[in-house]
Amino acid sequence: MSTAEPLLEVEDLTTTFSTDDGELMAVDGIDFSVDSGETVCIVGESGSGKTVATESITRIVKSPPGHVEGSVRFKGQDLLEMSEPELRDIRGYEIAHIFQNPQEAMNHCYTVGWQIMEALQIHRDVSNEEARAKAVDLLDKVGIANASSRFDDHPHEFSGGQKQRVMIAMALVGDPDLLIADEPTTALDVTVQAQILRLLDDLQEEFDMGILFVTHDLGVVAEIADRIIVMYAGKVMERGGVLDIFDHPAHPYTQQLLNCLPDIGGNTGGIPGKLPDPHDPPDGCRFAARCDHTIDACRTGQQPEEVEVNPGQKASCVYYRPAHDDSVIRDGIQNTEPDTTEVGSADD
Amino acid sequence: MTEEPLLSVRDLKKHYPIKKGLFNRQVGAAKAVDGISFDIGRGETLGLVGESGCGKSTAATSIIRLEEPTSGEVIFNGRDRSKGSTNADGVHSNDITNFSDRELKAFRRDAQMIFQDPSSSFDPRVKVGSSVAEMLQVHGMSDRRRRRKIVENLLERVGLSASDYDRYPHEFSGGQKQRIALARALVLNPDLIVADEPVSALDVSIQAEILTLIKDLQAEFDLSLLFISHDMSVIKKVCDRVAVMYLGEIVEIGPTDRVFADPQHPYTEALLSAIPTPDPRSTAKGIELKGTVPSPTDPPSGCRFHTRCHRVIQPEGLDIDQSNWRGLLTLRDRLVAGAIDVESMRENLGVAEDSDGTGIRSQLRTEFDLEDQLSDAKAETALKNALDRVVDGDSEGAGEVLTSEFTTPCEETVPDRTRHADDHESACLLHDREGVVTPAAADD
Repeated sequence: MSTAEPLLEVEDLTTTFSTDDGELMAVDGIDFSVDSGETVCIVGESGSGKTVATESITRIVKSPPGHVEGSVRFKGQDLLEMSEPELRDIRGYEIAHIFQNPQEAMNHCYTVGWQIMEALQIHRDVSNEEARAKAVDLLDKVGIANASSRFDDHPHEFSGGQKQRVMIAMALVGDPDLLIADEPTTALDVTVQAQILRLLDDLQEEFDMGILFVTHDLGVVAEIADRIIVMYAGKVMERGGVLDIFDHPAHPYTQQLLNCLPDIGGNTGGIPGKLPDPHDPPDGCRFAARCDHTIDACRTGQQPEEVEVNPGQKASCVYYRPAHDDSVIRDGIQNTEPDTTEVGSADD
Repeated sequence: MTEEPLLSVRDLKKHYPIKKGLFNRQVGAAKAVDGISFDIGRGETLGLVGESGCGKSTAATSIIRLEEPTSGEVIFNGRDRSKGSTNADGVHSNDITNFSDRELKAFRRDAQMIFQDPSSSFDPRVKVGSSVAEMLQVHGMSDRRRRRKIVENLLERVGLSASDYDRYPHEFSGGQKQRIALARALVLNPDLIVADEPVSALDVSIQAEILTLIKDLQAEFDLSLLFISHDMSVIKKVCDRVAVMYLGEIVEIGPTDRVFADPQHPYTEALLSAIPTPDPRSTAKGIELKGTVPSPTDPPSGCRFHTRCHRVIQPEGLDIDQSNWRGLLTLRDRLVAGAIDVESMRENLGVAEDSDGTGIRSQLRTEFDLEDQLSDAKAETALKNALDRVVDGDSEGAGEVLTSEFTTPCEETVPDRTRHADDHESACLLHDREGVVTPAAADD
């Protein structure tokens, strides 16, 4: 983007669900932005609201119907103020989604080629021949060997990794400006995961896409992310550049998350405790109940304001308020120096 | 291992017939598991790792006879079967593959399985406590109160509470359901648990909890585990020994530390290097395995990994850059398979720019990692010849040229297992060069 405005700018995004047990706030007033050609990773445990946050962008939040508030500016337009038909032009075309489970995202009654053509023809008035040529081209681009003959195969004739490639081809049909990838490699083998990550990287370079990548795998994050957003219980705990977050995580939650990595902290017991009840989130910091450093100030008021702890790195923790001593938290960082002598280096 | 292993698998095979036509004639077989052998000692955890489609799960289900194995022996010495012996007709008395229905039911008490997806392994309309207790009932415990007591006790052991007995599966999270699945596997006090990807459907933070629980319970109940996973980091955490599978065969087996620190088979090496390192500074790109696992219906000859191996051996007399060699073989295989579409390449390039085929030649060289000029003159001539044929639209002929010129010992010789050190074995010709049959330069 030449202008100062980012490709996607999300402000005060709040997604609530009405359930039998009352209102459930899955995403609670979060902000973030994605630029063209940039990869932003949202990390956090399951149930932290990462998926709902990304689905709220194009309002595809599943049942029970979620109610999305705030503002989602995409290339200058507010997606949340758009009508459904207007949004449909953007969804799957300028903003594309890839989901975790390719099996569920495809219709197994139709050939994969037909499904890619359909994705294109919904948005643009192109002839069957043109659509077919484009679909074959895309299949070829994502590395499906023999694209033109595989065009007429059904999803069950593809392996998991190939299906995910087909999903990516389908997502690329409109040369999207923003690709939202929700755990696209979690269900795949490491070797295939490596291929898919490399593919996304190449495609990003080629199309200058912004990528919003949701994952819980910090190894993947380290490989692809430019910036990281750490979510917990519907709130952003910390954000910053990938090196900042890995080198000196500022929020106790991020520190614990990194500690769970076998190669870094070796804490195989996981983070004790559970996510708070989304129907009735606690006062103060959402992570207070599981944090080692909790003080009284953590349990009152709202989630602390995000404070800039390093240039470009912000954390939402009371310790970084002027009245508190942040060295307690900063000391926690020492434990998380990456130790690269483990698995990772066994390859050379 | 001096003492008798709990489970010995010998040359186990599971082939799925492929039938075709009006009379359902068998036209081939998908060799999902093709002759694997290993032992699991008492209290030991053996990991089975490999890409999807390599036959890990089929191996598991065939071992506990959820599916009938095609051939091979599975000797199980659990409970009071320890003094088994081979009968006159050559059948071992503890061979699971020959168990009668009654023996099999008894065996099912001693070996349990945990599946990947905890959500689909419980009946949504049955209380979880009853799901667990059903096992006791099936195996003859008729006292309802005693059943309940055992199950409540066990639920607490796996980190839930006794009152969870009366709740339904949907009230639990994935991790909790996997705890219940563990309780169900343990309720009959088995000797062996086969866990098929037990944590891959779970979140990382929960994975760690479940793995710790599995380790604790294993120590407490003196269990043997066959632990199947595609995730090397999970294997590293829980397994004593690990067996790496590729296309129905075990290519490397050994103590987990040894295999991770010093992988002997190129496939293991590639698998390990594909693990993303949680270090944003590491720029080392892993070894890239191109393509997917070949079809088990028609596995490659010789070493099954040779079609993707980055260390594939060069024939005697040839010494070019390894990535060039790999590229040559890949090009050859793709040409033979008819997978290179010159017409569409030409279309993409634009006919005007590529009247003499230079564009296609250089594109093929780039795509297959081939230098502009191979260091070996003879090889370069052959490659040029082949590329000329490709440009002329004779892909088949080009394939033939490369096939006659370039062969690798890896596709001709089935590697034997080489023993490295304490139980560490791998099946790769690199360790077995003396046994290599030197191929003639022009074979056919």
